[in-house]
Amino acid sequence: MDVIIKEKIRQVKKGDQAAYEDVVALFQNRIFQHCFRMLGNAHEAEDIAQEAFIRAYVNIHSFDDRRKFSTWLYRIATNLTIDHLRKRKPDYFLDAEVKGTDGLDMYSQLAAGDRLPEEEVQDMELQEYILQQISSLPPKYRSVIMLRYLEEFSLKEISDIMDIPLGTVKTRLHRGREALRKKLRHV
Amino acid sequence: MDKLDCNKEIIQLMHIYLDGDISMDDEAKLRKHLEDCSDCQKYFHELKRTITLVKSVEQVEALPTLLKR
Repeated sequence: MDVIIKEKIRQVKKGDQAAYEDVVALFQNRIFQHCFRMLGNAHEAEDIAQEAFIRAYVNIHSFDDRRKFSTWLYRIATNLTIDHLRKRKPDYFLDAEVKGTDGLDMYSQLAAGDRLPEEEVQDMELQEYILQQISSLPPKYRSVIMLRYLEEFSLKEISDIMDIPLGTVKTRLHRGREALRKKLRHV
Repeated sequence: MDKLDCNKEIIQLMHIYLDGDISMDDEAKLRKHLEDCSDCQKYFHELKRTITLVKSVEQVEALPTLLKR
């Protein structure tokens, strides 16, 4: 897989646009899933994922071939999602539906508090509930948790993707796990 | 609810273990402590279960239509 991608990137750098379409095809689902989990909104996730592929293409000559392309691409996508989350208007959050919940918006979440009664937890699809809890983490913890456990990157790779020291990755991962432990212990 | 009476050091060791970074000495120390302390056992179990739950989340079904517009 890595060898194929390396070769494709080499062709892209030579100006082969079709090779880039292959690269997009190889990564588009993963990058979209990543953006979707970060943003909780399919339309925004599509826009941001597309933007990430465009930026990667435009900047392909700054990509160092000795590095892993997936890591570089995830870095672009992650930065875009974090920028996008920052730019969202504050009221967006209150009106937005929480992904994976049927019309459950932030208001009802606030009303329910962070400790849902046992029955309510059982009524919801477990996976949706878990995703919702991951989404409720601050972006810097959410991204590290997702990259580690859903995309299965190593700690070193996450350090490259996020452009933060390994020690910071660990701290965020520890805090993310702690926060989720509290949220998920009653499930 | 949380009984954090046991020192933070043990919880830190749990995280180091979960990151796959733990030394043999520290692992022995953690293991020994867990044998004696049911609160920490429960805590450790919750952390491991959290990871299992997070990993259980399947791919969302919405499919991208990237570059097709």
